[in-house]
Amino acid sequence: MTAPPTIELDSVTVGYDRRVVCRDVSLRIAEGSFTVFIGPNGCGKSTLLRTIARVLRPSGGRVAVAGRDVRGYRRRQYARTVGLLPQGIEAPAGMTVTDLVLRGRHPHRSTLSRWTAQDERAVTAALAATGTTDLGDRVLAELSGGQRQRAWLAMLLAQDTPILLLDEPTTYLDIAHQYEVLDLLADLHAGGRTVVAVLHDLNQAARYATDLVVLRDGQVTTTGRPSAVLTPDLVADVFGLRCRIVPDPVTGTPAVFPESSRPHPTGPVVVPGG
Amino acid sequence: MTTTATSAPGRRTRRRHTRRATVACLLALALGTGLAVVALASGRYATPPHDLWPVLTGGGDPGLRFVLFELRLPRIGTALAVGAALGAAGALFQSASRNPLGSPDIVGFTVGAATGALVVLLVLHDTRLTPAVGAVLGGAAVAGAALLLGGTGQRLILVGIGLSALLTSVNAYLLTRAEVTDAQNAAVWLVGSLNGSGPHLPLLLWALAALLPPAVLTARGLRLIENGGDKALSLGVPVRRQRLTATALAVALTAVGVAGAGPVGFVALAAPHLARRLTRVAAPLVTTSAVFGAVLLLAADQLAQRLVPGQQLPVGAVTGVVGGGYLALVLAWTWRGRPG
Repeated sequence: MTAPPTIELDSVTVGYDRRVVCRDVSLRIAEGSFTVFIGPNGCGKSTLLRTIARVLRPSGGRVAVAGRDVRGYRRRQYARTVGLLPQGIEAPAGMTVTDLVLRGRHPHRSTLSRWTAQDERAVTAALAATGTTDLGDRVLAELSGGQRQRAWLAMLLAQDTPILLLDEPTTYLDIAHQYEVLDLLADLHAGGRTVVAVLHDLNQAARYATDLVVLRDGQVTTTGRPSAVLTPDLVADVFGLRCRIVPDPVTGTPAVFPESSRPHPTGPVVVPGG
Repeated sequence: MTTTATSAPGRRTRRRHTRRATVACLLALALGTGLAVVALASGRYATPPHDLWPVLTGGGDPGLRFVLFELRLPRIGTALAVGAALGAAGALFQSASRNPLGSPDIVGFTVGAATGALVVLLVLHDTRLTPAVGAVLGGAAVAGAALLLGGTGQRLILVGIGLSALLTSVNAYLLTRAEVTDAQNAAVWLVGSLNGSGPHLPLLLWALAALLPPAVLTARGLRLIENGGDKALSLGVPVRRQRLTATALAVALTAVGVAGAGPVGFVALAAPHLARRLTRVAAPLVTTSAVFGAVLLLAADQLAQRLVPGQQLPVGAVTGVVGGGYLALVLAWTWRGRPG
């Protein structure tokens, strides 16, 4: 926890048109951390992540990366520092995995420059790290959800940025593929990158994050190590869910189990309307 | 780890793209050259191809010289230039709006151009203003209004459809108020035709030379927008500026096309689709679309001159029928297997 902050938000206010989503948020994200944003739907997790990515422009306050105000970066320079895997990413019909990954090199190339050995190394490494080397010539639309998610990640890795931002990278994936993606992020984190992700699953967040940032109503409620942050009171307070927290039997990190509001069904389960 | 040529996926993919685009363009150019020879050799004064060479190299029969240099070559040149402008415009529109149906026809440019031409022909009766000038002004005005109201992307297309509907009735009204001969002239102009084209060819070529290079450069950043606005922004693409530049260039290229041959329909829509399908590259291909547009319009014009013996159909009639059929096919393919 002694690493210098690589991302700093100083009383940032941001939203869409006239609707303010996050008001006066201040936050430090340490270099080399695996920071996970958690919070209920609509609390401003994605908004904050998109602000750090410079996709949204704050109406007040200041965002700094590596000690510099992000407004001072040139577009490509910023894109070589911070990479984003947004929600709702899409690809035109007929695009192959390698087509996509090549596009990740955009910030490293000028309009007329040739394809360099460094570009090639980055693409090869991105495909290898995500296990998509053999999928390179396949069309994205024909891939399974898990394979496609790895292709998006390969595109992000080809961008070769020290900071990775990921907005719900596990959504729509089955449980095995969710952990596959998270393991990949953990590997990248171990390799020295700063990873900032929005996750919904608290147990996964607790397993993988070095730091949690808990958000509610556009405000940072608390930050810190998962074992220090995740308490029954916090979950009740932020999510409105009564729960018990026990050590994860595999990793020892906190695991959240909701209290049942109804008696355990003893008879056959009746599905209403089903 | 050593990286050999065979294990370099990036280089391999890039090379394949270049190869496919080159092959497609070469095929199109070969077809275009063939068509041009046919176009040169045929007409009211049929000329065997082997008689063409002496004339083209400076000799031959003076009568034939006149036919070739004053009538046939300018017409072929205009067809190629107009087709290229419309093809490139279509590629930019489709990419900027992220909609395979985005085209100057659909954002209201064509109908606006028609209104402009009709106002010049029927209301002003001004001989100094040609219908082409009116068309360019009208089209640009409507496209500008659509841009202001609709921004870019899907909303632009919806606003364009609305404006088109509005102006279509204005156009119909103007035609009902006109003298019969005026109305007939106007109707012919509105279909889009290469009959009597030629004198403006140098101007068309200059405009094309000025607009195509920035169009190609803009398309490079534009293709990243296909992965969504957030992703493009995070890759360092100035999304709003790129879209605006692309749309403005597309409007300018359409204006060039309309000035050259009137509002010829569907070339701008069909050329990028053909380019995409044949090169199998998922990106807006301004250069390839321009080549395909040029060949497409030349072919359509040849068809227009032959379809009905003894009569020259306006080329817009052919592109309308062929392009409309193509559009129906594209829609059927795109929405194949979807409910609704």
